[in-house]
Amino acid sequence: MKIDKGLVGGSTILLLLSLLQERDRYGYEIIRELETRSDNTFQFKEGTLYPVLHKLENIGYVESYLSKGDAGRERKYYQITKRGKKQLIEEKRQWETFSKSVEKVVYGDDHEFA
Amino acid sequence: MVMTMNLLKSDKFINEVISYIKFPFDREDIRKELEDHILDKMEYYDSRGIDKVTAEELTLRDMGNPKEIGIALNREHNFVLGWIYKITNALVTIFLIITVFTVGISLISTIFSGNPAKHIAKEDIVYDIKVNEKVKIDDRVIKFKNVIYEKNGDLNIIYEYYDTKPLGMGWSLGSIGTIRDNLGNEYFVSSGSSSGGIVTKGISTISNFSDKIDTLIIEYDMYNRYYKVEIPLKTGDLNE
Repeated sequence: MKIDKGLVGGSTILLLLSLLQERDRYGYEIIRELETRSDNTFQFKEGTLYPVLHKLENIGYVESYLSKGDAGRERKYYQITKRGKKQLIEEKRQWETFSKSVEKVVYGDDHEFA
Repeated sequence: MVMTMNLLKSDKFINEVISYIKFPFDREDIRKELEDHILDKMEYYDSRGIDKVTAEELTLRDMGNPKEIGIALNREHNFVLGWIYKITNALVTIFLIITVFTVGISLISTIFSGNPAKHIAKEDIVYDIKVNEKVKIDDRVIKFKNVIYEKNGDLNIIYEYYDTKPLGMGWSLGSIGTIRDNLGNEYFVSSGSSSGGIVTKGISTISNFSDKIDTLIIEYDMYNRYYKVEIPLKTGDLNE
């Protein structure tokens, strides 16, 4: 399915699916993980995460369920689906192609990745 | 410190988000999800020694613009209308929106053992149509028994199902399918049933069903299984 990049922002889906491939997570946990891992480079208006998660669920890349987990209170967790895992592979491929192209333009053909 | 939701500004924030969500069935789930997030963030600020009032203000600032969030969420919670729009033209979509929200459909599903319709008094019945149509999904047989239309506008679909293999499938029947009528109106139905041993009986009810409809259509199209049952409504026996 085509994804409206303008709606969800370039690499948001890649980030979210990557985190969910590691383990199931709830919304606040995703936000904290994004901030922590990126040294606060990725900071979203936190409420805007939910339309994206719900969109991913509508598309079929993730599923949600209620669980108490380790955190005590019952929360809505998100889990990546088989379809989501396939899409994640594609997202990574697109990202690698994109970033290599940027590198070539900015540094020229001779530049190689460290 | 565990916080409970007793926060006026947060309630106001969430109410504003929810106000943009037209599909009513998802509102409470969304409310709960946002409440949990807000409480988590406030606990984070609390753990850093910030007072409750300031924590709430900071949290709501971090959450973003409630109108923007509500509009974006609403886009993801009109999936039925979205699919209908793709399949049909815009005029049919507008007609369905008006019908769904002005007719005021509510869904009732009752669990019985024995006769699922025993709660319906005979004097309340306008007609009782014997359907007796059978369909099959894998090893499960579903029999639509009858349709009872009441004077208060309730239309009841009575059915039963059983498994043809001795060990059965182990899953309970979810939706009996999409319910439509000959005018193209679609009704949301949830199925409720009781296990009475080998045969499980169920009843699904649509409220405020118009007496102008002459055909009820039950169509199941999921997981590569399909059936369609059409039930003429105009003829039927008045229950004496």
